[in-house]
Order: sequence, then structure tokens, then C-alpha cells
Amino acid sequence: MAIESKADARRGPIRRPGTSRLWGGISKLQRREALEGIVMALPWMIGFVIFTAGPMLAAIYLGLTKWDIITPPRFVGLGNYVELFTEDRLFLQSVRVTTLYTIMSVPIHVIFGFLLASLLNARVPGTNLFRSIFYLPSVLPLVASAVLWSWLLNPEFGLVNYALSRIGIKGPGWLTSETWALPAIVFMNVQFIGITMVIMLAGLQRVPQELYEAAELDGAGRWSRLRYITLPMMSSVIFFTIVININNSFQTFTQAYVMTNGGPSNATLFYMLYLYNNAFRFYKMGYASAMALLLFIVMVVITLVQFRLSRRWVYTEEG
Amino acid sequence: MVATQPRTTRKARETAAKAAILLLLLIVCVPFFAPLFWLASTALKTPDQIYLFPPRWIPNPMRWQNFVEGWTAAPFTLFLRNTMITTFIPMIGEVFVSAMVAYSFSRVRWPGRDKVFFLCLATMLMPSVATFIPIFLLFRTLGWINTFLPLTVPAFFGVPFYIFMLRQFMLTMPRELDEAARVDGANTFQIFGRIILPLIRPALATVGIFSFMAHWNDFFGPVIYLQKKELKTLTLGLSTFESMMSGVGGSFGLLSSRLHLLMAVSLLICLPCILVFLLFQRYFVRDVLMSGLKG
Repeated sequence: MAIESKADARRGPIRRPGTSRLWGGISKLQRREALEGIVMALPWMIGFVIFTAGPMLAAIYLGLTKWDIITPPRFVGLGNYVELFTEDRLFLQSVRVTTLYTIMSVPIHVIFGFLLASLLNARVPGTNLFRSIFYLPSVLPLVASAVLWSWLLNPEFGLVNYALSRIGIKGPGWLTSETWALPAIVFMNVQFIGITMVIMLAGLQRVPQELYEAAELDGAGRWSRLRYITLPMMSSVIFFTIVININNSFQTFTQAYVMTNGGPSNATLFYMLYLYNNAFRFYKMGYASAMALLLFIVMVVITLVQFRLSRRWVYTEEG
Repeated sequence: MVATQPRTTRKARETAAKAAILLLLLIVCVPFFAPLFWLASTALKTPDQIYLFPPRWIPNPMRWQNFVEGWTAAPFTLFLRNTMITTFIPMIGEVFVSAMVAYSFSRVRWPGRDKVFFLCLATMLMPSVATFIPIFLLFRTLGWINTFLPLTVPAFFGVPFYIFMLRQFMLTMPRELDEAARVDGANTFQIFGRIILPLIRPALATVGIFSFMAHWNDFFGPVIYLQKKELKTLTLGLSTFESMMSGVGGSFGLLSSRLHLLMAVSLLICLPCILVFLLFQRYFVRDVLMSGLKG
């Protein structure tokens, strides 16, 4: 994406040729425009310092301390990090839960999101209606969805187990079962596939139709059209949906907070829930900051690694 | 080869394929629609109908007073007022401040502008998880816990994602608009307020809808900042509804004796989102697309 707009290029550089100082050589009028421009962008710049840059630095410092809010913070160096990895069984459990959840959830969203989008892209009647139905659950408040799904997943009277019983399966206790609580949340989250689906659909609609026509003339079947046209043309979109789905999975909080509160036996102790508990239930602000920073680093690294990898397998029009 | 086949067989085959896809779509959309239907169904049931087996889809008799009873079982009118405060004030702030910053980033020239915009883009990709504890501590120092300020004030510093979206939109408008006004002696603020803002109304609507949804549905913010009962928002009130009534803390795994009321209130809280979505869906779809493909 071009940072410099075309309109700007037409107007020429802000500085006159031959002047090197920032404010030198520009007319009074241009100076006024520049000042006004800065004033208008000032809210974001101040916000950046107060709500992003400052807190980032503070989080790094806090992560190196023990702080219960009441007494002054006590510097412990890397103590929090050592404790997290060597002594805190619950931390490791939360990492395990979040990783398992991500491994289960992300492929479902990406693969089924793609398949659903393909179905919608087949230009059958009622496409818009179907698209709305698939997307509708994604706009509801997550809390309401969580409350509703607690009911749907009720072992005895819930709709899910009723549907399963109709095909001869005795459904598990879902949220009350150590084995099935996490899969239940994965299952519930499938209803939010609409977001991935809509992005995929947009990608599919941008694939030039001529490519398919040409391939068909050359005798390419369905499979080779998918393999050699759709997937390469869609690679950047697929890549994007993987990134946002991983980031969403890592930050799962509301479902666990409302539906299971981390239980049973910490089977749904998501990273964000444990982080929240440390910060706002136990008031271990330093410890929680260390956890937050770790998650932040992991997310940034995963995003960067994916960007790196994507250069190899993502097709771009320039490349 | 497909192309050499007679036209009629090919057409027939295509029709058959489309019919198959349509059938598939009809089947797949059931699990997406059924939960919402079930929500409405439970919300209208008398308590004894909830535990019928097999379940009854259409309640008979329908108990409309569930909505009134559920709504008054906890102070939901108060929660609604709180939600309006924590939704509309930030919405107005986010829309206008983001538009102003986007205008500065796209159509006003000042030294270092593109570097600052790049920084803004970079923060858009940064997960917010690292900053929420220090921000909480900052608001705590200011004495803002148990006030609406932590949920409203930050909106007035703009949102990178909205700034980015609005900037993209503003770049498509002809530069001559600003030039002409400048020649007439208008300053940058006047150009923004009188010329640009009226022209970008569709984009403002989009951002406004996004912002509305985000704040109406917000849960994490209220959970952290609003502990007093009289300050609760709808989502927060709903999440503690169960424990308020039956004393069961947090977990919905257990069945409440007033499930029909719980579902009635859930449905009422969902209703504005459903309405906004149905009325403005073209914005949603277009913008998920915009954010997805240009970002």
C-alpha cells in the first residue's frame, strides 16, 4: 500500500528544492497548513503516547517487579518469568489449553470458511440471504452467545445433545466434562465462522474469471482449477485469515469467563483468563504484566514469522 | 472436454450442480440459524416447557411476560442507560476524532506526516494485550475506577483501524475540493468541517456502525472497570444475571430455574445488534472486505 498518496505527488514536495531545514523555505501559507495538520493529528499522537507507547514501557518494567498495588512495587529482575516457567503449574496449563484450542479451532475456521465461501461464490439463488445467516451469529454480543450456548450444551435438556441423540449418539456432559469442555468451546466458536467466510468470499470474487475460462478450455478439471488457480490466487487472503484467527484464539476470554470460569479442573483455563485472574482477582500486577508481555511477544513473533513464510507461498500480483 | 460437449448436457449439468449446492447451503445454514431460533423459543416458554423431551420448537402457550419479568428481575433499565453512555459517547468520539486524524493524514501536508501515519498503521497490528494492565493502573491512579471515564475518554484519541479506513476513503476524493476552498481563504479546520465531513458520510456511517457494535458488545472493559452494581452495562449485567438470581457463581453449566427469563433478557440484548446488522449489512460486508483485503 502506498503511504504517499497520488494527490500529494501531483502537488510536488513539501520543501522547495535546495532547502534542507524542515521548516525552511516554505511559504507562510504552507506553514499554516502544516501547523493545522499537526494539530488535527495531535489527538492520535497524544493517544499513542498515553495508551500505547507509555503503557508498553510500563509493562516491560512492571514485568520485572512484584506488585500487589497496595505496597510499592518490588524489583525482582526476571523472577516472574522464572516462576512462570518453573513453578507455576496453572500457567503451563493455560498455555496448554490455549495452544490446544488454537490447533483445533484455527484449521476449522480457515478450511470451512473457505468451503462455505466457495459454496456462496457458486452464484446460486439466495446467496445474500445465506451470507446473512452465516454472518448473523458473529454480530451478537459474545456474552449473550456464551449464555445461550451454555443452555444449548446442557447435557440433559440441551439442543446439541438432543440432536446427537437423534442420530444415535449419547452426547457427553460438555461443559461439565474435563475432556469435552474445551472441544465444546471450539464447537461453539464455529458459529463465528462468518467473519472468515466473508473475507474468503471477497477474495474469491477478486479471482479473475478469465483464468477459469482459459483453464477450462485447456481441459483442466475441478481439482486442478482449485489447485492451480484458486489456491494460489487466494493465498494472501488465506494467510490473512490464519493470522487473525490465531490472534483471536490466543485472546479468547469471554467464553471461558462466562461459561466455565476455567473449569472443570482448569480444563478451560485460557491464557487470558489466567492473566485476568492474576491481575484482577489476585492483584499480582507484576506477574500478570510478565504474562501479558509474553503473550504479546509470541503474537508478534507468530505474525512476523507468518509474514516471512508467506513470502514463499503467497502469490502476489507483483511477485 | 467440457467445451466440446453439446450445449444442453452442459447446461443440465450446471443446473444439477447448482441445485446440489443450494441443498448443501440449506443444510449447512441450519446449525447457524437454529441457536438463535432456540433462544427466541426458550425466551417465550413457560418454565415447564423448557424441560420437555423431545423439545418443543414453537412454545405453546407463549409467555410474553418473560420479557418484562426478566427485564425487571435485575435493574436492566439502569444497565441499558449505562450501556447507552458507554456506547454512544465513545462512538461519537471515535468517529469524529478518527475522521479528523484521517483527514490530516491524507489531505493536509506537514513534515513527517507519512512517518507518523506509518507508526499509526503499525499500532493497528499490535495486540493490545501488553498495554491493558498499565492503562488500568493509570486510570486507577486517576481515580477513574467505577466511573465510565475509562470506557469513554480513550475514544477521543482516535482508533488506528478507523483512521486507516477513513483515510483510504478520503484519498479517493479529488484534491481540487480542498484547493478551491483554500484559495477562497478557508483554513484547514473549515475545509474539514464544511467540505470533507459532509462528503464522507457513508464512510462515517460504516465506522459508526463498527464502533457501535464494538462498544455495545464490549465485555472486557466493563468487567475490569465497573465493579459497582449500579454501573453495570447490559453485557456485564447478563453475565451476572444467573448469580444474582440463584446464587450460583459464574458457571452456566447448571440449569437455572429461571432459564426462560435469562434467555428473554439475552434476546433483548441481542436485538439491537440484529437490527443494526439487518439494516446496514452492506456496510458490514463491504468493510470486512476493506479491512481484510487492503490491510
